Order: sequence, then C-alpha cells, then structure tokens
Amino acid sequence: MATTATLPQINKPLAQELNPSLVEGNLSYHEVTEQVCEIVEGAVHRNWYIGFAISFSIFLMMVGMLGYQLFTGVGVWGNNAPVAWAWDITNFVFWIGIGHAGTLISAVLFLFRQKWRTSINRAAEAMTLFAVACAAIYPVMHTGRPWRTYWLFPVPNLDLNMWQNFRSPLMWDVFAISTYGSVSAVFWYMGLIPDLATLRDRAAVAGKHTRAMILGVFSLGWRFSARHWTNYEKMYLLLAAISTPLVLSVHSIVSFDFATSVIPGWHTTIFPPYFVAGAVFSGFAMVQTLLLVTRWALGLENLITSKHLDNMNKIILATGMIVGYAYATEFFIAWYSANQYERFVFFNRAFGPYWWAYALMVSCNVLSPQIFWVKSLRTNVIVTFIMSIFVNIGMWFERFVIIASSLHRDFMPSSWGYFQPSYVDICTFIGTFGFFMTLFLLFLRFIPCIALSEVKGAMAAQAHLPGHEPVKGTTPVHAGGHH
Amino acid sequence: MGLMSFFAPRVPKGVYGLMAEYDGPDTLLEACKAVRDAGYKKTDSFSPFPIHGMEEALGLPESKVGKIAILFSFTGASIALLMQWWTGAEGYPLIVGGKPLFAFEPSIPITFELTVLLSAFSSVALMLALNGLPRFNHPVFGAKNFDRVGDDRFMLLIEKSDPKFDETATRQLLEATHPKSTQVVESN
Amino acid sequence: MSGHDNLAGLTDRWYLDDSTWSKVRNALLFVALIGWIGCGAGLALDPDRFYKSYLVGFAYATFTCLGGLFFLQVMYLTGSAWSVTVRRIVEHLVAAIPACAVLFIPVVLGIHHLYEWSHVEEVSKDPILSQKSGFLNVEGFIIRGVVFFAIWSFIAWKITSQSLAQDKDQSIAHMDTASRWSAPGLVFTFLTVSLAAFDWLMSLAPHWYSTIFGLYIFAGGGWTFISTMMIICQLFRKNGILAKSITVEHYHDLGKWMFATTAFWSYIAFSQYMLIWYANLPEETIWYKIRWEGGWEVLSYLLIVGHFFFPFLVLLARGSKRNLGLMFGMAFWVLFIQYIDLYFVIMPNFYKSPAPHWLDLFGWLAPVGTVGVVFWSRFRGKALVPVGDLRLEQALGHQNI
Repeated sequence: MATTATLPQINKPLAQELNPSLVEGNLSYHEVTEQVCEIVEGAVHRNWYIGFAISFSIFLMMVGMLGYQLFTGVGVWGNNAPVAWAWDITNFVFWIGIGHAGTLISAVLFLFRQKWRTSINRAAEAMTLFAVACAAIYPVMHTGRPWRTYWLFPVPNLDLNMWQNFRSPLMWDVFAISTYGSVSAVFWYMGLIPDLATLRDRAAVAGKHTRAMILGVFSLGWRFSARHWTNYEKMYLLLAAISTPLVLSVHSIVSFDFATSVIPGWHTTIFPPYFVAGAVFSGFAMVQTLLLVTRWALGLENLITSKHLDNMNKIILATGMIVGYAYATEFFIAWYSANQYERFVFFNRAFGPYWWAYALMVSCNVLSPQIFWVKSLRTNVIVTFIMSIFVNIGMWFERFVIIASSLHRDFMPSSWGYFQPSYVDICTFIGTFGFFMTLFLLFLRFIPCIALSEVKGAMAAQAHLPGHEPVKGTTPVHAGGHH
Repeated sequence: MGLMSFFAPRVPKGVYGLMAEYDGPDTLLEACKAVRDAGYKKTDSFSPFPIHGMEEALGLPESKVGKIAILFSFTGASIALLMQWWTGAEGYPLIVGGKPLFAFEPSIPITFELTVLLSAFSSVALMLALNGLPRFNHPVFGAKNFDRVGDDRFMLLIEKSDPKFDETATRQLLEATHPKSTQVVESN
Repeated sequence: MSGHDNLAGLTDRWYLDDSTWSKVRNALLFVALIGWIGCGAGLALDPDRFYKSYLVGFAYATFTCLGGLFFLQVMYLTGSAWSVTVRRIVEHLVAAIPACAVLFIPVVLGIHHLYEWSHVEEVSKDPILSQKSGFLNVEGFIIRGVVFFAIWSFIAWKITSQSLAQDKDQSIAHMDTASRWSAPGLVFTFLTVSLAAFDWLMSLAPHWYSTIFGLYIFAGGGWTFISTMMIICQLFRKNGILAKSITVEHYHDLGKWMFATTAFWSYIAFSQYMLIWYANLPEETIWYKIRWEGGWEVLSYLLIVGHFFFPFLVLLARGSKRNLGLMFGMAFWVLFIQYIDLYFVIMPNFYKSPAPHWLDLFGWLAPVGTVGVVFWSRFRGKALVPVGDLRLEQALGHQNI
C-alpha cells in the first residue's frame, strides 16, 4: 500500500533537540564504567576528608545535644503551651519532605519514562534514606524515652498491657514512615545490586580478593543473566509502581497529623496534596544543592548535564506554583468560609507576630522560583545553587508557619504566646545536617553515586531513536530495529 | 582465573556450555533470535543492563513476580484491617475523641501502608527466589572475559544440557552470528 | 537508526474521506438536536428541573474538555512522544471549549433556580451568606465565567493552532512555542478550573467549603477525558481508521492514564471525606450527611465501588490495559460513573432523595452532543495525526517496557 504521508525527516541537530543526549561526549559503555567506578576505587581526595571531618563534628554536636536532652528531659526544648508542638515537628516534616524527591525521581519519573533520571536517581534515593533517618530522630526523641520506641508498634508486651490507638493519625505516621523507610531502602538496594556486581568483578580483576568477596556477598552473586533481568525488571517496575502511591501517602499522612484536628489553619482538606507538592518541591531543591556540589567535586558534568539542571528547575518551578496555588486557595477559602476563626488565623499568619516567617516563606517558595521562567537561569549553576538554598529555607519556614502561627494564638486569647527555640533546639537541628552530610559523604565514597546499569540501558535505548548514533564501540543492526 | 574462584576450588568436570561474545546489545539480540529460531531452549544471555526485547529474543516466559505479589498485597490489607479491628474493638476497646471503636475511615491509611509493605517486600523476595539468588558460585563465572560483563561485554550461552546441543554444530551456529569470540564454559 | 519500513502506522490513511466525515457529523448533529429538543420541552414543562439536570450535563461536558486541556499541556511539557499519535484527537476535543462557553448561557439564565446565593433577599437575612456576597453574586459569577472561558479558549487556541501549522511546515519551532505556552497555560488552567468548580458546583451548597474541591472536580474531568479518548480511538479502530497507527502500546498508555486518574480521584475524594469525617465539624459534615440518607447513600456506595474499587482492581493488571475489548467497556463504565459523581455532587443540594427525571437524559445529551459536533467538525480536511510533528516516527514505533 502506498504511504499517504511522509514522516518529517530527523537530522542530527533535530534529534538532539527532541531527545537530548543523556551522556555528553559520545562515551562508550566502558568509559562510563571507568568514570563512575574511579570515584569509589581511586584514592580519597583530601577535600573528602575535610568535608567528612566538618560533617562528623556537627553530627557529634547533635549526639551531644540529644544526650543532654535524654538525661535532662524534653523540657530543654523551647516548645511550651500554647505552642506545644513546634521545632521538633517542623524539622520532622522538613526532613521527611526532603526525602520525597528521591522516591519521586526513582519511581514517578521512571513511570513517566524520563530517561534523564538515570544519572541522578541513585544519589537522590540515598538522600531519601538519610533524610528519613534525620526525620525519625525527632518523634523518637520527643517520646522522652527512646528505649520504649517499640511501644509504637503492635508488639504484644507486658509492660504496656494495652494496644495502640490506631485511630490516631500519629499511629498512621508510624506505619507510613517505617514503611516508607524500609521500602525506599529495599528499592535503593535492589537498584544497587548490578552495580555492586560490576564493582565486585573489577575488584576481582584487580586482585583485591577481600574487597571482591565483600562486594560478592552484597551483590548476592548477581551474574547479569537475561533470565534474571526479566524478573528483576518486573520487580523494579512493581517497586516503582508501589512507591508512587507510597510517596503520596507518606506526606499525606503527615498532613493528616494536622488536618484531622479542628485547629483553624490546620484543618483544611487541601492539606494532603499540598503537603505532597511541598515535599517534592523541597526535595528537588535539596537534590539540586547536593548534586551541584557532587558533580563539581567529582567532575561529573558529562553525566549530570545542564539538561538535568533545566529539567529539575522546571519541576521546582512547577511544584513551587502548586504550593503557591495551595497558599492562595487556603487564603481564599478562609475568607470564603465566613468562619471568624479561619479568617483570623490566616490574617494573623500574614500580618501577626510571625509575619516575617510568612513573608520569608512566600518570597522563597513562590516569588523567587519565578526566575526559572528564563531558560538561561535554569541552566546557570550558580543561580540554581542559590535558588535551591532559598527553596530549602522557604520550605522550612512553610512548616514553621503552619505549625507555630496556627498554635500561638488559639481560641483563648488569655493563653496566647510566642514560640522561641532554645539553643538545644537550634543545635540539634544544625546537627541533623551534620548527620545527613556524614551519611551522604560515606555514600559517595563507598557506593557508585550514578546507577551504572541504568545509565547504560538508557544510552542503549537512546541509540535507537531516530537520528541518534549507536553507542561508541557497538555495531548497530538495521533490520528489525522496530518490531 | 575465574572470578568467584575463591568461594570454591575449581575442579573442571567437563563442558557446561558454549559461550559467544558480542560487541553490543543489538548484535547480541540478533544472535539470540537466531539461536531461538534454531530451536535451543537452555540458553541465556549476559549483559551489563537489561536489553529491551530480550525476553522475546530468547523466548522467555513473562515474569511471574507481579502475579504472585498481588496475593501478598491482599494479605497485607487483610492483616491490617484485622489488626485494627481486633485491637481497637476487641482487645482494648477505648473510646478516644468520640470516634467509633472501629471504622473504615481511620483504618485506611494503615491498611494502605501494610498493603504496600507486603507487596514491595514480596516482589523483592519473589525476584530473588525465582532467580535462585543469592548464589555465589556458577560455572559461567569461570568463562573468559565474564568479569567484564558488568562493564561492557555481551554474551550468549547455550548449555550442554539442551537436547539440541552438539559441540560442533552449536559452535557453527554461534560462529554464524558473527561473535567477537566463542569459548567452551566448563562445569565446576 | 531508522525503521521507516517497519512502522505499520505508515500504511494507514491519515485523512478522513468526506463521506465518513459527513455521516458521523450528521449522526452527532441528530443526537445534539434530540438533546436540545428535549431540553426545550423541559424548559417549557419544568424549567426548574431542566436547569438542574442541565447543570450536570454542562459540568460533565466542560470538565471533560478541560481534562483534555490539562493532558495536552502536560504532554507538551514532559516532551511525551507516545501521545503524539493521539494528540490530534485531544486537540479537537480541546477546541470544543469555546462551545462550552455557549453552553454556559443556560446556567446563567437558570441562576436563580440553581444558586441560593443569587437571591439577594435571602442573602441579606443570612449572616454567613451576606459575608460571602462579595464573591457570590450574580455579576461576579457571570464575569468570572466569561473570564474562565476566555482564558481556556485562548490557551486552547494557542496550542492547537501551533500543531496545525506544524502539519504544513514540519518546523520544530511550533513544538517549542506550544511547550512555552503550556507552562503558564497549566498554571492558569489550574487556578481557573478550581475557581470554576467553586463557583459552579461548590456554591450550590453556599455555606459549605472545602479547599480540595477544585481538585476533586478536575480529577473527575481528567478521568472522563481519558476514557473518552479510549472510546474515540477504539471507534476509529473498529472502522479501520488509524487502526495500525494507534497500536496496543498506545492503548496500554491510555489505560495507564485511566488507572492513574482513577487512583488520583480516589486519593482526593478520600482525603476530602476522611478529613471532614474525622474533624466532625457540623458545618462541614452536613455536606456528606445529606448524601448518606434519603436514598442518596446508594450513590455514595456506588461511587466507592464503581469509582474506585472496580476500575482500580481491573486496571491494575497489565493484561487488562492491553485488552482492547475490556478497556472499551471500562471506558463506558467510567463515563457512566462520572455522571453519577456529578449527579451526587449537584442533586442532593436540591432533593432529599434521588428522583430520576427524563430531563436528566436530555440535559446530558444536549451539551455532550454539542461538544461532539464541534469536536467532529474540526476533523474535516485535517490530518488525523499531527503529520508535522517530529516525534511522530518515534510515537508510531512506541513500545512499553
């Protein structure tokens, strides 16, 4: 039969524009392996030690603060009536939110076939785990008796002699966070197996037998078999499909902690999607912060390209707008409700004693990301870095505003107050950054920070797109490219 | 020197199969199709990343991971609902905040989380079980260049246990697919 | 690497012949006409009921088109390749948005039948409504409606016209322009669709409020939109149109979107319901209370099962998303259940128990038929796929993992 229309012809520059190269510089598979493995196999750079020393000291400060709190009591924190739930939950929500980008990049972008994710998902997932670890510190320490943490789980025990109240959103949180932490860890580890096997083989070739043995155990004897890949890919797809609603559920459930209450400013139905968007927003900002430093320090500009910055900044802009939409909706409905308490809380939020926090939040989260409408700013490393810090600050203040400003002037004016953090609050929070960075630096040192097998798979897939070259060193087969 | 040789002393016990090496995913895929069309069943290919279309090229059945995992997800949901109903309404009935002792509304979040937890863990467990992993010792680890499959090598294996296997004829078939090299893999 | 010769889609005819086009157009015109005749009779016999039934149909048609507008912009922004094959159909559906502006007129005419807040007398006696009259008033309602439709029509025109121009010159510049418009377009779509949902549907219960309500309605629109796509593509297929261009891979992707929108609607619906249930504030729970009694609870249960459990479990499996017959049936189920959802949102505000009426049928048929006519009339003389899109080859050869 005759062709009724001719397809547009794709030349090389057009192909680049439609599907930009994931890896710059026409690398072969081997060159990618070398570049990524060199980071974990080569000598440790002096800067790594400096960074580690600083992070670890800050981490030790956190340990000291937590120890002091443990022996003295939670009274060393600044929260008190009426703001009985302040700094700790702010930081908890902040860190949990940061974690969301990892799962989003690995799972949601996987389902959306965004191949560019392959060079950043490993680091982002690691970040998720570390952020969840930082977040978990707060509720566990706020119990005052962390050794009783198992009371939060339905473990039959004689010292408690009763069951948990599963109708409480705080119990939902326990399940959401622990499921999220463990599923993310498994997802991350599963993605790691082929790369650990690659490292194992390289160690064996280099004659480092102890290293090869340890890596051999952790890679579970992976042998890159097609029969294994079939089950592996199905499992990976399932984990991605499962993690997508999971990541939505986690921050939704965190938002239920607030929204199931009757406190004006907390009880509003848009909270679940609003919290999720905010989490993605802050998480992407944190990924940007870390990746910009990592790619600069490790010379990964050809794998984490300006296209990545561009895409990530687009997501930051989009989620920033969603967060802005939620702020606007909340304000509008507070007025529309004609409920005097709702109206008061939102007026007080913007113009009351915490006006400065609100102004900071709006300018960091909604106004400043607007510069990302300009493409040259989206791909500018310095601008991106500064913006990512802005967003992190803005999102921390968002949680602070929601929590402190809704509580500090409650229904009874006689008990109005103003929350101020204690030095223990502040030092613990700074310390969590040390904890986070310590873990992240260890990750960079011992684990390939770029998912090798995924990047190579994406390179192979891209070679089949119209107008693209085959991967260097391989022979293309023309007949049956499509079937 | 085989890569995993430190796990067990290698004692050659005859031929395990024939292995051919290719320079990329496309050539490997074509070779797999040729071998499948020639009627071989006990075959396997090795590549640094999963190759799109390989299941079809090797004639592999669809993975069972998903179908079995769904059973576990229902189990997770049931456990969660039973747990919340029994502890709240039977084991330790206590009215909090005027809420009923058991209702579906506040039970959904935990039900969802346990469903997800069991589906995720069972998918991983099933993947490992169906793949027979962890397994640290395997004849293919002894093949030459096999320690570079994780880097940039693409290999095709036809096992001796295949009824159609014949060292000369099979080697000829593999040679016809233009491999970079072919070799005999020994049993261990 | 190029695979021109293996693309089955290239053997399809990418243009409709005139006789097919006019046959379908006539059929749709006939349906729309029947709808309007029924509506006319209703207006004469029972105007009050007419406006109420019509509002359901109007919201149904409009939010479906808006779901398409959302989808189109998201596809441009994410650089999606697979959807290029079906994009022309989306564009024509989106191009029916200006027709929805005309469909808005009866809603305006029936404002006093529909909206309690439009009665100035009553509002002045009600301490809550009188505080809201700055927003809930007749002039504001009309002006906002006009502005919404102007914005949507403008965005729709900006994006679809680029695609049509690209058919002629195959320039990548059109794709870039469409993507550039999609970003602010999506922001405005989001804002205005929520406000429209507040205006047209939430304010039917003027004392009640829910911040998530806009998303709830939007999610339902996306759901019917994607199911409409499934039905149109399959009807094409059954008649040998684009039968090889739109492959099972594309249906699989449409099915994934059906699944995603099912899950998203359920998430939003559950969030709204559970938070109101849990906080138990009388001014909020009343909205659900009237929907749990007087027979309306049947619809509530039907939504839980039919809007969530049934489609969710069926669409979960990979096999069912690749089973064309099943997906065809499922898409009709979606269209039916979404009607029930809008009925459930609108009607309990007026009636203590469900009272189906013959006008419900015509009130739905008239707006939906009108959108259908406008949609179909756009097909004349235009290619059925965006032949100028540079990703077309990639789209035709698309495969799922």
